[in-house]
Amino acid sequence: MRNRTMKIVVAVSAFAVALAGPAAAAETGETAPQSALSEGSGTVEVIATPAPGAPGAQAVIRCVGGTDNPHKSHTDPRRANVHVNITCSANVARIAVRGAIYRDGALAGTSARNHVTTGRKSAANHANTACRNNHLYGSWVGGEITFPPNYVPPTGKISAFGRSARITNC
Amino acid sequence: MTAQPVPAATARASAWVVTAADRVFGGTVGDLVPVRFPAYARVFHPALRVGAPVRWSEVATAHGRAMHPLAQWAQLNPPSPGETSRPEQWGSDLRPITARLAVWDEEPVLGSMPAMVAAELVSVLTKHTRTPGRCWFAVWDGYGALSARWRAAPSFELFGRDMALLSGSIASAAFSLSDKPFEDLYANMWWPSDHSWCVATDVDMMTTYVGGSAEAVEALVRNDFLEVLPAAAEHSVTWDSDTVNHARP
Repeated sequence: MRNRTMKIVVAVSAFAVALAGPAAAAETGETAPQSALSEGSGTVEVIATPAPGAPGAQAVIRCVGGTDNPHKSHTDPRRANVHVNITCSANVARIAVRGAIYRDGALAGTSARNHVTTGRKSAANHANTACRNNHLYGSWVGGEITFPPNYVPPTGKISAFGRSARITNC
Repeated sequence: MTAQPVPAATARASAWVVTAADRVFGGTVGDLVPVRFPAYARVFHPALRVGAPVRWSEVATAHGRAMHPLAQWAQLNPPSPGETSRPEQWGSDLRPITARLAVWDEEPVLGSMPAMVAAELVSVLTKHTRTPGRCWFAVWDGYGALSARWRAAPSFELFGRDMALLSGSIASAAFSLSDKPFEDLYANMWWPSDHSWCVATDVDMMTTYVGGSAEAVEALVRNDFLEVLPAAAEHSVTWDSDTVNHARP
């Protein structure tokens, strides 16, 4: 009989967004909280607008941070993965993104470092941990966007708990 | 204009896929695509360099590695100074690899077909089914970017993942299912009603597998726009499947 598995659990609740001034946090990086206190919608966004009268600036840029459901890996069956990303509506100067995976609310794994893209509209990262049956896995995405010159604010920071799922097919 | 799919009335059309996969995921091509086809192909999602596609074979050549049907992206890109050289750590983790700027600056798309792959597969596979107007599309409902409209479709479970089932013409395979207009997301699995072929893109992989007739697979392998190699149902799809390049320093 086939193994009935993974009940998806998603809730729309607390998340955190901060708009930052000077570009600084990318190297230090957003740090994954040690525990997942809430489940998020899996998306969160920051918006930058052209400075009034600024030459060259075109349109509002919207950047969204998101996570997919934690899941058993099909490339390494001992692991549970989560994919995270930040995607913008237009190319931006820089995106740094990192992710984390939680097991029953406790931090279980983080991406080793920021993944940084320059001059692009997206960046993705991953986190994984040992896959253990019948635990609730959560996710977190963090990062910083540096918008093109003449956009306000010049940078935006994302720190959000994302989607969660119970994995039972490890 | 790309045809928009619709939610399937029921998930009944997935029965042949579920029946074929009624067991534990074994880490082979035959776990992704039903083992009923005479031939299989592996489509390699291109990396990019200044927005232009870069083939895996070019990456392999640049790094003195061998391109072959079981090649893995991490094994084609030897660690740079400062990066881990432990094969297991390097190969098993899905961490993004730092760009090898002279070769590529953007990694292949992971977990979903790139738009150009979707469009080209539609173009080729249309000629290898009698029912191009009636196809089925299964998408993992765990994608954060999946539009709520598709998430509400009838679903079935495949190896612990809930899949929403849609239907439409073959052109619907190139319709983005994302709720973000600036982020593409395509079906993980799609097939025509006559079951003449099946396409599968796993959530954790940078390649897409196709099962079909020998003629369909040959047409894909010969396609100028896609990078495709013949595969087999028993081929491994796990991180350590690249035994040709795996052990090399």
